[in-house]
Amino acid sequence: MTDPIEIKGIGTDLLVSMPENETWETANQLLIDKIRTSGAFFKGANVVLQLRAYPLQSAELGKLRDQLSELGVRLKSILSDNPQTRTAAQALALGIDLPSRSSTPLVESFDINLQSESAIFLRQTLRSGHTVQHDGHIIIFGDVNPGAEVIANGNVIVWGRLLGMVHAGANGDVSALVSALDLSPTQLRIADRIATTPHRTLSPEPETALIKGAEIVAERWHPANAPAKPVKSSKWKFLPFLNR
Amino acid sequence: MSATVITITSGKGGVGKTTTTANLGVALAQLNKRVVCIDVDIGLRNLDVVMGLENRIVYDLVHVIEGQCRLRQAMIKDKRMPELYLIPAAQTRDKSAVSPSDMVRLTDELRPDFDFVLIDSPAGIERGFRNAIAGADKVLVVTNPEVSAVRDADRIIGLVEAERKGPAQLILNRMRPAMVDRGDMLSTDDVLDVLAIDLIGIVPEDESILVGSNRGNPVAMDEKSLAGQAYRNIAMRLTGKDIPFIDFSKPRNGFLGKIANIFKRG
Repeated sequence: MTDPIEIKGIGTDLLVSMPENETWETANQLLIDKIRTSGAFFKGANVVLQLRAYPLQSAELGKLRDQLSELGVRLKSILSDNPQTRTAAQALALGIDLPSRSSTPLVESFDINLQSESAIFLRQTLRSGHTVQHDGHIIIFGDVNPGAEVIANGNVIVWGRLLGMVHAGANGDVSALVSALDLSPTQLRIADRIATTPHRTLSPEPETALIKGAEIVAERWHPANAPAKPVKSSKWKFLPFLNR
Repeated sequence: MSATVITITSGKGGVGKTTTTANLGVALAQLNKRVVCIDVDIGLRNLDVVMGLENRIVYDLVHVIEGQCRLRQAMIKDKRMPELYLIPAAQTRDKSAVSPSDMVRLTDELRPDFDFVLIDSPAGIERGFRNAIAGADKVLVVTNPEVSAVRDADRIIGLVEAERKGPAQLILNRMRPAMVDRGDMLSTDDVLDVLAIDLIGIVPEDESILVGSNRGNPVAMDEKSLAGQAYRNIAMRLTGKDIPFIDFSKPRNGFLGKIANIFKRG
């Protein structure tokens, strides 16, 4: 009899596929049993879970993540054919793609092509400790608090206060943008540049940060059809010793 | 040259471990010691905020342990001090990302290049605590003059001894002399009666400590602050000097009293 749980190595992570045609309770139990009986094999592993078509709520996914965590396994992302499950995973800040080849966000890459021009949309506040990582663009309708991280290979748009760490163009795309209603991240990274928010005394306004020449600048948003006037931009301080 | 690895722990949360670590780091650096502070509170990092280095984090402790960067890349230099560095904790992971043996390896790697390695322990007695004391040569237990904090400190002192890292030394934090005088707060002697370990410092409750932590300027940087002096005294005791304890118990507000206090400082 073949093992109902399939395991495959992908880079430094494990791709674990759930059995088909079972109830979720059974499938869940099979997975936990599999990990329990596998001894040290799963210890400290990052797991990408193929959930097939199981329709799951955030609570069920969260419970599974906690169960895995207790067994020393980190649920990194999921794959699912079910849109409801994917939404639930995003709400838990789990990935919904295969991880990009390198797990470190600061990779130097010369070939810039987004694996997909897809975007994920999150309607929630990202609190400290949350990471959202996506190959395409990330749109957040809510605040990003200090200690949270948003990492996209594409652009990042935050309809709210962006106070945590943000990395746009994480695989080296220097044309990536970061926009927020209040753009005051702890640290702002575009491609391989890193900057910190300049001290500002004025009240926050919607801004877009981008690389211009050798600098990261933040430009205030203004209506496209407004009378032409020079765009006010603030220059951001680099952390020079970190920029390669 | 080999560093002394000192873990700052408490059992109970909120008694001032992180504040103590940041201030001792600053105070030791002011004595021209080469100091590195490590935040082991993975998932709930704070030391970077208190030290005012939050926005310079690129790599953290877990990156070092997992080999994603070199040790030096994760060390953030505090430019206000001659030789003070921080290795921040990871915020998006949990305690299981690091093991006690990882910490022993890390501290051994740091030893040749520093005089002091300060480790900020998480609250609790589980994995995070064991990570924090794994590489320690010396353990400082921080407690407050209140019954629950002393109870937890007692438990921790026992665990430190069980791990053969004892005897721990005590820092009594958030002391309010006026309350002790009224008999409303445990006195230093009350606490020492229960815990029966060496006292290495008493730090008074002082608003400037909180302000300093919020702004990322540890109060030990402020030459004029009495609380800062308390931390500087602990630092000097750690370097082997015999420094008398500041007498907070009899605040003198008269003119002569102020003069007497000036002579008492140190």
